[in-house]
Amino acid sequence: MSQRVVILERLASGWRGLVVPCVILLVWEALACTGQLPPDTLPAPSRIGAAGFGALLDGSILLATGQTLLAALGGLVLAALLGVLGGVALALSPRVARVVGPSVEAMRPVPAVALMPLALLVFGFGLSMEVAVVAFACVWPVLVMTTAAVRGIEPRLLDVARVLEMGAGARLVRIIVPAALARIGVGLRLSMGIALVVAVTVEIAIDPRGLGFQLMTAQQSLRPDLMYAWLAWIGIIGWGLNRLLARVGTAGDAS
Amino acid sequence: MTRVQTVQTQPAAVSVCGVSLAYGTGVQRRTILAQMSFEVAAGEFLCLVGPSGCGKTTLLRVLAGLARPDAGQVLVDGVAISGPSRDRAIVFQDYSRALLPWRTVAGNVALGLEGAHGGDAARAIEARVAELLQTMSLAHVARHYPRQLSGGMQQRVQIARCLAQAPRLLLMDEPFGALDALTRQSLQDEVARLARAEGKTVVFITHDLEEAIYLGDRVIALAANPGRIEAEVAVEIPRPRHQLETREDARFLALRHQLFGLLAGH
Repeated sequence: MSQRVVILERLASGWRGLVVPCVILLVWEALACTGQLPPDTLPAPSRIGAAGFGALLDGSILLATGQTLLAALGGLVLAALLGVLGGVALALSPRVARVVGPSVEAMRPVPAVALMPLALLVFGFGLSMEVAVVAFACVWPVLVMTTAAVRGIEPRLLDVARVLEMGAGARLVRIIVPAALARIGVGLRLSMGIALVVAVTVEIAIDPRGLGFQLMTAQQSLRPDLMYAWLAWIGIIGWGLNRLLARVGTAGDAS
Repeated sequence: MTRVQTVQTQPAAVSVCGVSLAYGTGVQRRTILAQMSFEVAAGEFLCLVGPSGCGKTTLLRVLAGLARPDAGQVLVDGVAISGPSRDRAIVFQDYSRALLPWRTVAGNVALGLEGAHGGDAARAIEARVAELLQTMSLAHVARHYPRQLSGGMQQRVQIARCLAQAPRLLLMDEPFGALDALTRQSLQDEVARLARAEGKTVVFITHDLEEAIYLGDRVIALAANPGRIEAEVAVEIPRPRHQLETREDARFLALRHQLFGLLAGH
């Protein structure tokens, strides 16, 4: 019963958080209706809502969201694979660390978005170019966290692996990866946050697809209502992803 | 299915021949073990006792094959060892670090069996794990995680894992050093009983003189800087031994006096 009370209280405090946005929207609507605001830059919230509803009905929201999320997810998966494998190799092999380490350190500060022209030359417009840029941005947190996690494994566990005569594969699967998993998860969470930002950025800048492109198109075709609708939707996607990450994060910490 | 259970292991005989080991370089070079030689008979329970810094742990790592001596060698049944082996299990003092925190008690014990058998051995492993958990009085916590257990229970898990790898030589590095007196006594009795029942050769390291005499067929006292053998005594007290009577036995007290004098002489 007390649990129900807690849930109700949480809901109530959640609703309280909506007071400020609601008041702003009402004032905004009132000002727009009375002609106090320039309609080219600040259209009425009701017009924005109508434009968003139209985009939802003609399927463009669904398509663009799918394109952007697929690119973000694809880049993230690629980054996770490369980051985990590379991090394990960097941590376990002094030779790899000596030979590849300096190159990694030199490439890490390069802004991922600066690679957009290059990615465009190599892959052309479309999914693979976007995935490549997202992967480049997302690989570093995973790589760095994996390297640190594997280097920080309790040496006693490696003794146990040696006494049990584990081969390299068994040691990796039974000891190293599970021991490093929690911290690899932290790197992945950081990268998930970056993935959406970079995907939308690539679409705004060069790639004619996805949420970022729709946002730009609405702005350039003098449809501020539609532009605000896309902006709001991108915000909602980002907020939802963040909530998902936070939930995944606490679940990971509890285990 | 009974393949794992029917593994019969003969206890190993160990010879330590002139083992020396030093760490560091130049003026920092410190000799840890100096020309150490001794024998362990098959099935014997040998206790090594000594002050901290006498190289006890290093010696045990050499026996396990985890550390390589600078000179000399370790022979197991007459064959020089070249590295770690499933034949030689080692129980570490820091049980909390030696267990896999992401595996249950049963999963940790199973680790000692994995990889040693064919692919169809899953059920055999399960049966052997259940048997070992029963032996170590861990059956009721099989699904718990190590961090949910007391220190004594965690050390039981580590001992069960070591028994699971079916070793011929059991190396124990101050296994009860971090436990309270009561837990320590009950684990001492259990290890003594298991060593006899399962026919293991045991090399047991401790800084507790009474523990060494209570458990050992023989006690070797070590001196520090550099680590070397100071004295060696046979413990002629019959088994099974008892926490109260044995410790009041005249032979026990005589050995205690003799070794205490030797260890305190430095």
